[in-house]
Amino acid sequence: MTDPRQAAEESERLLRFLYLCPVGLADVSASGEVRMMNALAVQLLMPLAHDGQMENLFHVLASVAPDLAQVVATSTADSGKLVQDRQLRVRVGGAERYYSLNLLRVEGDTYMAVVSDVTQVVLNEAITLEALQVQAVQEGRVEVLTSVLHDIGNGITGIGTRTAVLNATPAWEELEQLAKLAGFLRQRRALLEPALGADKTGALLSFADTVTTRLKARAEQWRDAITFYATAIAHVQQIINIQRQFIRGGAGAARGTFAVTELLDDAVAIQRAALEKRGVALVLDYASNLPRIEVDRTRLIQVFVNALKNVAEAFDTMENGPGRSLRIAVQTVPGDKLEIVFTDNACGFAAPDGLLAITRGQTTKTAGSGVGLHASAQIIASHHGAFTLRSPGPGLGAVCTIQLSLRQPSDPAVP
Amino acid sequence: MNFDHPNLLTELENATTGALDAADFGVVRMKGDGAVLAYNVYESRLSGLSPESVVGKNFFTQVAPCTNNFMVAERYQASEALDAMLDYVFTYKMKPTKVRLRLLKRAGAVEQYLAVVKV
Repeated sequence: MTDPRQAAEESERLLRFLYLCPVGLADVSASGEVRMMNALAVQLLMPLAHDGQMENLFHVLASVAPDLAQVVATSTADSGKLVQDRQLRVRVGGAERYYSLNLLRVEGDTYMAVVSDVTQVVLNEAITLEALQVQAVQEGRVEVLTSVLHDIGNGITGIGTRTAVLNATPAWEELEQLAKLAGFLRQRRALLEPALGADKTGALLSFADTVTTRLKARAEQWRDAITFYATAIAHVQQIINIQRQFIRGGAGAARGTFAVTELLDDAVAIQRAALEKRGVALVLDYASNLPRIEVDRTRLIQVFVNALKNVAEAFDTMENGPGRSLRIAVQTVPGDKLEIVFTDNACGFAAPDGLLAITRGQTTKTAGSGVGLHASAQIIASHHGAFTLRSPGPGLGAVCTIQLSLRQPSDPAVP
Repeated sequence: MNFDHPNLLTELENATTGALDAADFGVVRMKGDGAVLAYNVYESRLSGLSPESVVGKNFFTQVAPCTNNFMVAERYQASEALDAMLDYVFTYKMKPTKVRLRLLKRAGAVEQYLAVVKV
């Protein structure tokens, strides 16, 4: 015989199990009449029962699943699932939530409904889908950009080759021949004067000298111009190569010892148009005799480009006006470190103690993804450096500080 | 004690555990975080849960999850002071039962109350 006290304890344990079951369960008839229901079912469904009535499940769910009575009525199965994992979008307390509904026939007039809140799952799926869409769009853009850069690169290479050929061409032979002719005439002056007269001979020699001198000057200008174009074209080619490396995700990136100021200049060259378009005055304050440093050139330029891009875009939220400035300072600091500081007077941001906690998705921009900042911090961390972004507050500008150790380990990690 | 009495909160605050057990409606006395301090006999009989198994547990998540939504639990959290009635459904022993709830909370008080009566 069962001990009554033991039976009561078992009964209470069973009740507690059902009360705390994390899924909503309801035993209903074919017409939706609720015979039994656990606590979670009430928690989930009560906000949908506008009249406070919970007698009939189909009535409670009428606004989001109006066909349940018909599904049951038209089903010919003796048992089994009639509704499987149907997603219901509901409004609960002014917020949108998602429920999952299963309805199964147990036997005869006994049906069981299973309801659970799957809002987080749906939101996660939406985030994943959005990320995939963004990735697809990005990949499409990258494809186009790669093609455009390839074409530009080919064009620039052709111009560069032609310019190099011009630069390598020896001095104009015609000029040398003209100079020789002038010298020959001068030597034969005594023979020419009887034939042409002294005045005309003098004028002829003067003319030959003048033409030679002027052509030499123009040749010099031409050579300077060609040298200038060759240098500029080489720089453009370098920038295009950097951009192509960015698109490939840094593949083929070169690690070596570089002057950080040269990398900064490259980054400025890439972002110069963006800064000029926004009327940002750029001040470069590089200390003299800065040591070269072992870095991943491409990735470091990527960080600098991103920092400059952030500064440029930070001015977009402000009214147009004079006085926009960006100062880039590079100096060595105690602890054998090289410090690069970007100081702007753009929109700034609010953050606890003025220091932005850089995590994936953290951004100071209204339309930013936060991926750039996080990636930059990771790249600097992979160089055993520190990346911080501070602001005294909204409207008060921002300071991005990058510190790189001058004592680089030989095998730093690459993110 | 009367469920509809305007001064019910004061009466509940002054009531001993014995007085709560004498009430002809359910009473749950809990801390501000939902931890149950007293669970009267009326409520215990309806739910089938003994007071000893309930005291110390969080009422909204560990005893009556049916109340863990914006209609009940979140109203306690959102209100400094509270005296509100609403028609609800409790699943006493899995049987949906119409009840009227009275949510009671005094500003600055350590304890809050839920009174329940079948309708």
